[in-house]
Amino acid sequence: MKGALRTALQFYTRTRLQRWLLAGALLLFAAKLLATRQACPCPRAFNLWPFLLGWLAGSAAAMITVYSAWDFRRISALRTVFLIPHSRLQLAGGMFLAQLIAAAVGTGLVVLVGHAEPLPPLAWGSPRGTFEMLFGCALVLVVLLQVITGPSRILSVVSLALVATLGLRVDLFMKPEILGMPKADVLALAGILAWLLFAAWYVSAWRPVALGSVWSRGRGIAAASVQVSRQTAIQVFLLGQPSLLRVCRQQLATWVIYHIAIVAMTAGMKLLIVRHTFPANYFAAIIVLLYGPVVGVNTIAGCLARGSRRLWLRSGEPRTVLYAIAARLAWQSLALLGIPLFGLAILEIRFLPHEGFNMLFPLAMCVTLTPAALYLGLLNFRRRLNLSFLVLYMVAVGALLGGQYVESPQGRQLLWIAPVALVVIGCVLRAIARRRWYGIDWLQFRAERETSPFAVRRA
Amino acid sequence: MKHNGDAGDSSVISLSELGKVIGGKAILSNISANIEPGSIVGLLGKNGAGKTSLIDVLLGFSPPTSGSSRVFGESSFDLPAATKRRIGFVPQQDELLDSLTGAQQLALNAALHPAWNDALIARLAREWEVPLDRRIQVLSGGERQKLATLLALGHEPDLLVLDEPASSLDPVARRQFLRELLEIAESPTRTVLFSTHIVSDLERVASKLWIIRDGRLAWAGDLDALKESVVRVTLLARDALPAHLGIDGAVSQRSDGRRAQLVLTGWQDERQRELADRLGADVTVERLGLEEIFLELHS
Repeated sequence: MKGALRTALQFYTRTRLQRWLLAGALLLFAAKLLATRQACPCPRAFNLWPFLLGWLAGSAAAMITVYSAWDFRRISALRTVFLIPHSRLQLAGGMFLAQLIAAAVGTGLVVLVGHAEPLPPLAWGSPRGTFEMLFGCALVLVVLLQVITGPSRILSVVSLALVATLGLRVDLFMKPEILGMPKADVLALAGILAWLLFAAWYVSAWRPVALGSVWSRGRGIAAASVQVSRQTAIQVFLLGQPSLLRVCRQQLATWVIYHIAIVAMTAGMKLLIVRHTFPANYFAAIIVLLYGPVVGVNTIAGCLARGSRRLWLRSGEPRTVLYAIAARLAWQSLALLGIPLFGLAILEIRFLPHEGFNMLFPLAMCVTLTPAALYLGLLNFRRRLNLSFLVLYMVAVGALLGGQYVESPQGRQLLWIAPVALVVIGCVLRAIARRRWYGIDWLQFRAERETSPFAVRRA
Repeated sequence: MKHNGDAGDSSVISLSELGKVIGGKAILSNISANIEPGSIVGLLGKNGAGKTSLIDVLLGFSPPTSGSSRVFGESSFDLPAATKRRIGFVPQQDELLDSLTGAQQLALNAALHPAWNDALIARLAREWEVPLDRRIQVLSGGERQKLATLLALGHEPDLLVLDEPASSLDPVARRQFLRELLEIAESPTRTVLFSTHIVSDLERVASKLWIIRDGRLAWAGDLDALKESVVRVTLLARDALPAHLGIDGAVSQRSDGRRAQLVLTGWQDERQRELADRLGADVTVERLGLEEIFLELHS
């Protein structure tokens, strides 16, 4: 029990990113509480700050859960952990306790904020209902992430299809009771059941594999012939994959899967609403499509930056040419990702409901953010994707919220100032990236070694 | 003890007062040395002494903070393509792509080198028993190491740099690998620099030695000269010896009344008589093996 509790706490505090997220989320919740108390009580006014802070705090909290779920898989695959007796039992128990703690803290915060708000905020009726909803949702989300990204592709597709189907049949959840029980109780039970099934497999499995990396799924270059062109060889050394097209295809598939999952999770969101007439709203799914090219190009550019060392001696090219090759490939990847994903997003903005959210502003923001994301990736010589993602995520969330603000008279100027500012930031990052590449010191960017979470820390 | 080499035009590698600082910490300090064509130079040092950092700087992966590093007369940081083609490099952590087969990985390298010797690689792969048709992912540590070395040899480089090439091999494979290394270096124009912390490997193949300690070059010169230069001296005096013997080049000293044992560098045989006369003691001189020298220098 002590070990599981320690592991649970580690899921929130193990890495620097988790600690920053935790501190940020707590601070934002506190700020949200204060802002809500001071906000205008008239129901028609749009109070930006409580809304903004609440959104950011909720996002940070959700990211902790998602990051913990990812970290859980990574830790499980470590050979050092495999050799520790009962380590997986401890990890499984720890993850369960982590969700329990998160739900308890979340309930406390909701109750605190709830008393200050003019409209009934406890949509689920009572603190108990709140706790059950949060706990059930957190457990289901964590198990889903494990199953969807798990070792069995069939199970992954089946679970994704199930979630998507439920997402399209949101009417099933538009009732206070399911199977004669309060839906909060049903969700908590479903979460516990899902966790028990997963934990039974997890503890008895031989050794869980690490989360599948999109970069490691390649089948290699054409097996029939070992004659390759210089251009192909350069791409392979930079990307670790046979072609840019394949890498972009994997990225596209990943983002479309996320998109489907978010469409499905709309159902989950409806669970948290007591007004059972909550309209269908696909803004979150659309924002995933907008966010896809931003993160995708950032990921690919980072991969190019880290692969550059392999080409220094082999290709014979100087640093300036290596930069030019990497930048060209990164821009090509942006075109391959941006055209389909932004195109689909524009179609969905046109045809899918997203009441209350001006999506054209986030679209403009994300399109103009892509050059900055590209050059930020080219500067990512060390694998620090999480921090990079966080920065981009915050900008994307800001864009979504800005969509509300631009509706007001005082926010009109944001419509053109913010995209222009992002383009300027992109230009500045381009200059920095060129400068860094021309003097690149690969010695400083050696890959970080994997460590066990159970390793003794230095005093 | 350091031998500073003159950086002549004929040098394959020449380092002059080279220094490297990362995050405020000096990784390499004031390193000056050069390597002539046809040499097999062993770079010896403890883990973390700076061997890999030195190789990274001299191959241009990293700019020096001070001093200069030149390979075939060109600045390491700005090596032109023609010079890079004369270099073969086997990194400590191989850069093989797991999803490819050995043959595919070789083909990728061949695509980047205009003068790739397929016949040589086919012969070496056969002799070294490297399974080229299997995925790199399933190769053993030794097989990966051999494949990485093949990649560095295909374009028949004039300078071969190997960073701890035999560290993942078992003793039998290591001995075979070193034998092959000697064969590779048979050409009078080919130069080999390899880093290791396994002293026995070095004694087998290297003719020259660089010892690196805490980022500084403690020795750069012939292996035999080092063995001649470092000795263990035992003194047995008629009266008690003073605590401080005042002997130049003492690396370590253990005294016990009339008896003292020292390890001295820069030894010359004439010093035996001088010590005996000055301290009134019988002086016994013992030559050390490379491993003992290495341990004494790091004690």
